This record gives sequence, structure tokens and C-alpha cells, in this order.
Amino acid sequence: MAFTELLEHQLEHNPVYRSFYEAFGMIDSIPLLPVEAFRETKIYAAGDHPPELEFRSSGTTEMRRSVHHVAYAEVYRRSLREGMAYFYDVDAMIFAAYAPGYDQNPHSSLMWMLRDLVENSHPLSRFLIPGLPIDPAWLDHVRASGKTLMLFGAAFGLLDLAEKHPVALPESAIIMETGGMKTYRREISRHDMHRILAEAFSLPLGQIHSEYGMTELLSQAYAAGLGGFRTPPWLHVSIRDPKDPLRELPVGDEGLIGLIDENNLHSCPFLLTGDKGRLHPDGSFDVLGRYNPTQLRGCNFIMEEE
Amino acid sequence: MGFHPEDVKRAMSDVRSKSPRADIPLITSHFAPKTVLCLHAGNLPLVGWHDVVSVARAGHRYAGKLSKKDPYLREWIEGRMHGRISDAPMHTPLMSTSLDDFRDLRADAVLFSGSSDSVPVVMERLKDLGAVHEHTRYLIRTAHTSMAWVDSLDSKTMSDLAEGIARYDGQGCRSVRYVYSPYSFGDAKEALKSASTGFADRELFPRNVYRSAYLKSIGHDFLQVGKLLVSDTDPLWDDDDAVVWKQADRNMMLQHAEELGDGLQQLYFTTEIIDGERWEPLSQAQTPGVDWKPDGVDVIEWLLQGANRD
Repeated sequence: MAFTELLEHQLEHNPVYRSFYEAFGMIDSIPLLPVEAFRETKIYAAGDHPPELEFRSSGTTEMRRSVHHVAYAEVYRRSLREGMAYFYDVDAMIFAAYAPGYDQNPHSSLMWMLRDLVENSHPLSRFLIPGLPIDPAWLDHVRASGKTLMLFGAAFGLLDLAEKHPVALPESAIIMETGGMKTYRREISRHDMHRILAEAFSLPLGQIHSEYGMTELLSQAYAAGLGGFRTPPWLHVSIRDPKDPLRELPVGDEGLIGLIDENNLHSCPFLLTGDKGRLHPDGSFDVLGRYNPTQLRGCNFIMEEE
Repeated sequence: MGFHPEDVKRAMSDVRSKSPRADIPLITSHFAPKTVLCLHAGNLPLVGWHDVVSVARAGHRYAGKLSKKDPYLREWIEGRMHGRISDAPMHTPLMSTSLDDFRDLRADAVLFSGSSDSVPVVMERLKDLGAVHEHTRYLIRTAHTSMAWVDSLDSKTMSDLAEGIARYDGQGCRSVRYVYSPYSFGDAKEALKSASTGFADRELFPRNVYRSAYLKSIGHDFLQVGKLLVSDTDPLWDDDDAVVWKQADRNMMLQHAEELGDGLQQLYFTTEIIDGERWEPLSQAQTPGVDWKPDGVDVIEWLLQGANRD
């Protein structure tokens, strides 16, 4: 769908986005709505059709959490399955999900995704039981099936599993970490995390992959090994100038990750995240953590161009 | 982006009133003078004047890496400080906007303010140039924000607050970024708006145009004060141009101050006088005295400690 059509739909059906857009006056670009808006108000563009799903970000009770009202469950199902199929042979896979903690959030989009993958794939697909080693007999069955195992889970959970119950996974297995390090007991780089997972599960580093997604987004990006994240054709990434988010930054510059997800038509496709990122010349992108400027305000010495 | 002419005028007048030549006594002349390299920021006009005065008062030799954005500091040094910046009355201080000009300076001390991320880069560059030596001392300031306790909405307080927020486009470490008050933002908005008319000719920073559109879309109130935007909504990302009004008690403010740690420069009081480290009247937010302590460090004392130690 062309961006102009997405925009027209938003201006007609999404009062929050319309107000946001109109506040800029005459502009020749499409402003991206900060994802924080999902925490503050209902972002919905499906008219009278009641939302079929409601996703909420994780967080403590006193935190205000993002709520994504999803008009059509099938759109999310197709988005995640077709998005994954764009990069992986989903039909040839057995999925194992390890997401301790997330099962306590009945509105987790990650849990919904994992459930969908596990329930609608090979019969050996399953949720692993938190805190317990991976069943060796099950692993033997997976090996015998000739299918590719994809172990999917939040990074901190996988690290715990790696530390407490390391085990050699089938040679062709892929580990898919979804980020989510906030509750982990120490800070760790993506490289170190992948190294630990690779060692614990006896896999080459190239078979540790990453997923980039969020509650406010129906599509996902994937990265193999430590390479950049790639998106399916309906998810478009740009890097925005934190000092003027209407402005796109050139390849290589660090800034805020901006996303246009065509599958978010019925909430808001035009999103500005608070994540720091960088585009590569081949269109892939790096996620460099939360955007945290080096406190450019203040009596700062700035190394000027000489 | 240049400075607002009114800010330049204000800075010149303020610094001039605080540093007449007769008021800059040489505190010591019996120590061997050291060479002190000051790396001046360019975020507001004359931002380095206090370091220059401190070096002069300590009786050391001044060398200054000036910002291209701030021609006023050089003008002020040449016009008012000449003869007091070095041990030799006619010594001309080394000043340049290019770090290359400090090659082989072998400064004994370096003063600069900057983000913690910039520190290793700057130090490496200075070493490569021979601008420092192995025993050089560094005074690095990283504070970048200040907070105000606003216990009144009278016109004087609101006027001081508008000045604390919007003067120098809020780009100084002494600029108010967080307002704590028993009053809500809604209670204060009209009074602050009336007090901000002197900054009405300034356009919002592009980032704040964005923020204002966002706040409008989610139905949150805000007020433009100069180039800044005041609201009771938390910044989107770690947004340096957002001014946040929090209706809370003073303990909450102190707790927040503690969380900011080294990033905090000043705490300001308004009608009720508050004693304590880093507390100052809000009316002085943009007019620091010669004795103010960037990052809580007395620069002259620090310079003299170095002299004693050697």
C-alpha cells in the first residue's frame, strides 16, 4: 500500500494521528507518531469494528503501559507468519518457546506470537518449562525429524537457561532472541550475549539470530548472527534526527529508529521509536539500545570541526 | 545557529558587572605559575568567563581553546583581562579556535566541561598533540541540568522562572529543566505565560515543534517559553529540550536530584530560603557569581591545590 493511502486512511480514521499531523501545518513529509502515544491514549483507526486483540507492554503496576488495540487478529497472524517466512522456511521448522515471566502478562504480543507459532507448526513444537533443563528425549525426536529447531525467547530468559542448563542443540538449530534485557541482572552487549548462547548450546555464532519487534508494531525485523536487522517489504525503516525527527538521517548516522508498518493500518503505521539505530547501505539496520543523547545540553565542550 | 542578540547583550553586561579589573585580585603569586588550558564550550555566549577569571585569580598562565560559535569571549578577554591572565603583564594569552594551535603546549592543568562520552576522545586528542604531559591534572565537569523548587506563583517568581528556563535558549547547565512545585502546571500556566512575554520572539526548537504536535495529539497541555516547551509530561526520549513541571513535594525533588547524580548542577529556591549544597536563589540562575562552582568544584581552590602539591 502506498504511503499516501496509509496517510489518507489515518487522517480519516485516526483522530490522534490527524491532530498530530495537522499540528505541523503544511509539511511535505509524513510525521512519525512517537510510540509513547500508545501509553497515553487509544490509537485506533478501524472505526466501529471492535478490536479483536489487545496487547499491552510489560511493566510494573505503577508504570503506564502501552496498549495496542489490534482490530483484526488475522492481520497480526499473517504479519508474523509471512514476515518470518520471508526469511525462514517456517514449514520446515520446529518451534520451542522459552519466555519465563512473559506468561504472567496475558496481553503480551510476544506470547501471542509464540503461541501461534507453537500451535500452528510441527507437532513437536512446544513451550519449554521455565527453570527446567531441555528434555533430552524431546531433543532426540527433534533431531530424528530432520526439521530445523528454532528456540525462540526473550534474551534474559535464554541467558538464564544457558547458564543453568546448557545443552547441545541439533546442529542446524537457530536461537532467536527477542531482546528484552531490562530485567537481566547485569548489562551485557549483544555480541557477548550471542557468544554465551552459542557456547552454551554448542552452535556457531551465525546461528544466533535476533528479532526486533514491539507491542506497538504488528511486523518484525530479523537479524542473523551479528548482522543488521532486515525487514519484510511492508515494514520500512528510516533513521530520524533526534533534534528534528521530521528529518531523515543518511546511511551510517545514528539517530532515532522510525518505522512505517503497513500492517498497522488500523492503529498507526507511522511510528517513531525511542530506540537508537543506524542504517547500512544495504538497507539493513542496527539497533543500538535506547536513545540517550550524551547530554548535549549544558556547559558542554563539543569537539568542533576544525 | 547564532546566539540571540538579547542573550549576548545580557551575558556581556552580566560578566562585565561581575569582573571589573579591580575586582580580580591575584590570590597568589608565590607559586610557580602553571599553564592552564581551558577548553571552552560554545553553547552560550561567554560561557568560559568564569574559568578565565579563576585562572587569573590563581596566578596561572591561561591558554584557551575558544569556540567558533562564541567570538565574544575572546573580545572580552582581550578587552578587559589583558595583563591579568599571565604572570607577565604584557603576556598575550594563547587563544585559538583550533586545537592544533596548542601542539606541544604541555599544559599543567586542563579545565573543560563536557559529556562523559566526550572525555576520552578529548583527552586522547590532547595527548596526541602534546598539549598535555603525563602529570597534567584535569578538571572535567559533566553536569548538564538544574532544578527549581517553585513555592509561589507571584510575578517575580514566575519572571525568575521564565528567565531560568529560556535565557540562553535553555542551553546552559544552570538552565532550569525540572520544576518541582506544590502547584500544578495548570495552576501556574497563565502566570508563567505572562512572565514569558520577553521571550515571545523566539521560535521553538524543531524538536519541540515535534513535541508540541505530539502533546496536542494526546490532549496534554503545554506552554512555550522561548525555544523551550514546558509541560507536566515526561520527556519522550531523553529529551534535553523538554522542561518538565512536576507537582510534588520537596522530598521528591531531592530524590530526583540524587538520581541525576553528577548530571545535576544547581538546585534553586524561590520565596523560602533553603540552605545546602548546590542551593541558590532562582533569581541567580542565569547570573552566576564569580564564586559559583561548576559541578560543585571551586575552580580556584582546585587550581591552588595543584600548585601546593607541586
